[in-house]
Amino acid sequence: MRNVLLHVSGRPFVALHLLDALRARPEVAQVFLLDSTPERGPAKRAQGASPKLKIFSGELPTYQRGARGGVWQEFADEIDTVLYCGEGGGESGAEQAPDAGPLKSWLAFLEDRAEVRLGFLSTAFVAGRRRGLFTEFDLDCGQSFDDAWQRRAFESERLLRASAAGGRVTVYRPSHVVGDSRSGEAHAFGGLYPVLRALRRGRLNLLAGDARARLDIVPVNYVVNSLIELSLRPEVAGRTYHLVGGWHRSMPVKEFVRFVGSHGRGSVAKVFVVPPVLAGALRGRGERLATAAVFDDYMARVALEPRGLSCPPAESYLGPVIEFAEGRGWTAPGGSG
Amino acid sequence: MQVTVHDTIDDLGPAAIEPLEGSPLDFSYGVLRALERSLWGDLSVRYLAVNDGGALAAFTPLFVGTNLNFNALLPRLVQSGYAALLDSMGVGAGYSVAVAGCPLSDRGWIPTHPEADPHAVVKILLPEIEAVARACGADFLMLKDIHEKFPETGQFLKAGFVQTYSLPGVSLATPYGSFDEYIEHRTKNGRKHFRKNSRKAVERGLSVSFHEDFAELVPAVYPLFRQTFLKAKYHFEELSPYFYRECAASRSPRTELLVCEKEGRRVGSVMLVWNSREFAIKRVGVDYAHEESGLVYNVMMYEGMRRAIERGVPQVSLGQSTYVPKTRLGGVMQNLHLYLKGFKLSLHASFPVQRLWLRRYRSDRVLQTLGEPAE
Repeated sequence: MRNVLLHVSGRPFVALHLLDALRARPEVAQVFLLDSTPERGPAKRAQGASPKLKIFSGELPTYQRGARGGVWQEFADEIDTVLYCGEGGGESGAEQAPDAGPLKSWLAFLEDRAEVRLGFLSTAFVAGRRRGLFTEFDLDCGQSFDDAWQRRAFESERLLRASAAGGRVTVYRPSHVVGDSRSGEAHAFGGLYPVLRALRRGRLNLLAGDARARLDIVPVNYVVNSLIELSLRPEVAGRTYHLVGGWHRSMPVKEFVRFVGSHGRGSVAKVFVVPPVLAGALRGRGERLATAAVFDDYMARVALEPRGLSCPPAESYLGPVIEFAEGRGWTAPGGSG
Repeated sequence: MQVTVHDTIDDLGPAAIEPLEGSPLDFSYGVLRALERSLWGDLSVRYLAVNDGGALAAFTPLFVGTNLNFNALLPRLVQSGYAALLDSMGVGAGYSVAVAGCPLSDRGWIPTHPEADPHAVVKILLPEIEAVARACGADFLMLKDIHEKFPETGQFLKAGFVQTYSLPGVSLATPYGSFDEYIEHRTKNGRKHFRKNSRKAVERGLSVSFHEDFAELVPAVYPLFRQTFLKAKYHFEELSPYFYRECAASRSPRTELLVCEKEGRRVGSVMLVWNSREFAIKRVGVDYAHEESGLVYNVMMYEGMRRAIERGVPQVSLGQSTYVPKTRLGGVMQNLHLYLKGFKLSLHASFPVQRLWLRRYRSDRVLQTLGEPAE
């Protein structure tokens, strides 16, 4: 039985689903939710504490060293697994890695407690602009980055791997995460959803990207189930897992655009995929999609496929994902993105 | 004779491939199957088989994709310019390449049955290679790493291919009863180098172990292979972890992993591949964070040689790079050629310049400029 602390300071979409999945797992005895998001989305959604769930809101240092240190001491000794959902999402324009503070605190926590392990929700897009294979064993390949978010995730991983406690850290790198593969359900509509919405509403007629590149999409239930399955196993410490569709389950950008635009309709809105070099000129009129890297998920597949966990092909679940979002008017409960 | 095209090497099978001569490891069933099962990106493979009276007379794999690093031997400016083109315009602006041969090959020879007529085989095979390459959407075709002694190169030139040099291959004959006898036959400097490295390996606490069933070790050693690939001067085939896992399961040829450790930490690894005719030190992985990565490399090469001689294999293939230590081991350089044919005028027009540039890889010129950094 594990006692898991889920620290959410960003990525509410994945974190909200993760919270539900953790509560449902019999192997998880106790879930501590530390919600550091500005809107307190996960804490609100949890609808109050229960015997299995304890909720804390605020910043980690406040608990560790501040006025609420007494509260921290009460549960710190019970934790054996920490899952940290950091900034991510690309919403923040801050150049400074916002995860550095909490991650350093968690690394210090790990150094004090030899039995505790940390899972970090990163992103496969730490690959940046790398062209070619990007494996779970890669991090610094000399790549450049499309935006500050990719660079921040990359820096966070570097920080973790350079740490003395890095051998007890597991990094999870999902690609573009969308709703549940069966129901389409999503607790938030950030990430790829604005692109989906714009394509559905016909407002996006220019898309900057490589038409022949492929879009790696992954359903949230695969991400959270894989993440929990792996987190509960001691041998994953020190490793990195790509929670991605991979080449064969990804979609060419052109096909993705056509599929999303035409799903459930007779006609397709005209969308032009323009070369990446024109991305800057579009100035918000288009979205840059896809990556030149091909994500290899050897470690994840070797660990997860024997347990019946594999990522379905994007074509099989994009329909329900679109229908669910349209049914909710592209607005999550509480407006959380 | 007739040519058939197959999507999988399993259609041909190990029993039909085993008797073919030319390059017994690079074109072996096990190595090609491992490559086939670990393809990534849009890279795909077909096998063109020449059948004679129901028996396999010859065959070649044909790899097609946009992710083959076809310009690895060209000037840095060309490589970075091509990458910038793809970054700015997308993959659609790039070239799809068809490569006939084994992407790992360093002793290329179209595998042919000893009783088959090589002239007739090439005559019937060559137009089919080109037809399949075109049908797969390739912009140009490369016959990769054909050995200078391959008897039918005249047919390539007659068919409009342009001949250029590739990196020389290094191999050596090993008619020795023991590893000590092999060392005795080295030059004075070679013997001194071996003794020095052996002594230092003991002093530094380096140890080696061998693993035949090494699938479980892939997560531990793949980072070493990956590190060496990323550091290498020439970035050729990019292999995924699946390739090593598939190789671990190969029985034709046999495979083995040599792991070098210091104080329980894995600092190097080499994949050894062999059958009764040839032994290859196929992939090298070194932890460059280790302060004596050069020593680790040398120790692994000597232990690989020891393994080959203990197994009584008459020929050892050492690969196409890191020529200084390989020639010290007794390796002999052999010229290999690329044969290029462009299906676009712009590409074809660039071949004479490429041909001039690639003359630097002629073995005698490489020998003169030995001293490249270790891979």
